[in-house]
Amino acid sequence: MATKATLSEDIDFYLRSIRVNVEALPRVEQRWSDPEVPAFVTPDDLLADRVSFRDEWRDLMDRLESRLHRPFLAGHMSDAQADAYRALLSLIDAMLPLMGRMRLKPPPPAVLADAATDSDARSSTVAN
Amino acid sequence: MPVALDLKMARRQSSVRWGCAVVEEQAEAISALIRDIGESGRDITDEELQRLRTYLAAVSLARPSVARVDDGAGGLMWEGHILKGGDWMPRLAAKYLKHVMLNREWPDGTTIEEYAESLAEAVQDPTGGVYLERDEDTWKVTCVARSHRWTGRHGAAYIVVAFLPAKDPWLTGFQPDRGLRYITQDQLRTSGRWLRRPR
Repeated sequence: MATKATLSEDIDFYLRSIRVNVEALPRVEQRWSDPEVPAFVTPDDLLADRVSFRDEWRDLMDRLESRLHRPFLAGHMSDAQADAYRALLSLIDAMLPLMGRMRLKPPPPAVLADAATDSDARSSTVAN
Repeated sequence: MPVALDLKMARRQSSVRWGCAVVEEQAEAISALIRDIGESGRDITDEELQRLRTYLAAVSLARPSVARVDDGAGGLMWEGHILKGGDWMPRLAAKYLKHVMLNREWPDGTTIEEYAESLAEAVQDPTGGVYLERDEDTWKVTCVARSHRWTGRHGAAYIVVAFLPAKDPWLTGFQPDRGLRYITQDQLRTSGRWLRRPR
């Protein structure tokens, strides 16, 4: 059973690591289309690089849901963590076209929908 | 020595070692086996499965290959070099850095040799599963077995190790959060199937 402190550390860990991966996507896309590769890199290495990236990305999106979205919905995040999570989802939302071009698995629709609902609710609370 | 020179030397040495006729013959036989099973839709026999597992663990995993440094590993020091995201380095080291050092899917303190050993164990585990699917117009084989003692803080119940047998490289080895559902979640899209279900 994870303690509250461990859970919070894990949330910080995933907020950081998923963000690093999402922010890197434009660079990764550029690398995939860059014809200049070192002479020791074979076409099979390039293929393996793309396929393994997609495999690992799939797991990253699964972890987004299980390690961040569920604690977010359950109210296990601090205010700062919840804000960082919303910012991460906005970033992912902006990257969806790029993710489509790279054939990367998007986050589950429910994740983005819940975040949008939460954002609307917050706006409405602030307005009131 | 710059990383690139290390890699050039590794490639040269590997072409001597891996270019021998026996290994090339094995590679072609495994590639043909996977193509046959994939295209015909037939079951794999116990003997073929054993041959496949042995080849993937002993040859594909051990074959020197390269992968890009994960962006999250940029700035880390590795064998005297400061790494930069996107640079090329030996695949085993790149995956070790990502899944053991950064993600902590394996227990803290796991060495690169132990990481390699755990992947080979997973591939050869007779209770483990083997999944076949199409990806980028080639056949992909994913071996999956329980992680047992290799479960780290952010690890999970299973280790997966993926290969492109027709091209020979191994792809990656990690512990997917969703376990077996990670393997089958795209089953409809990729027309994948279990050659052997995990027990």
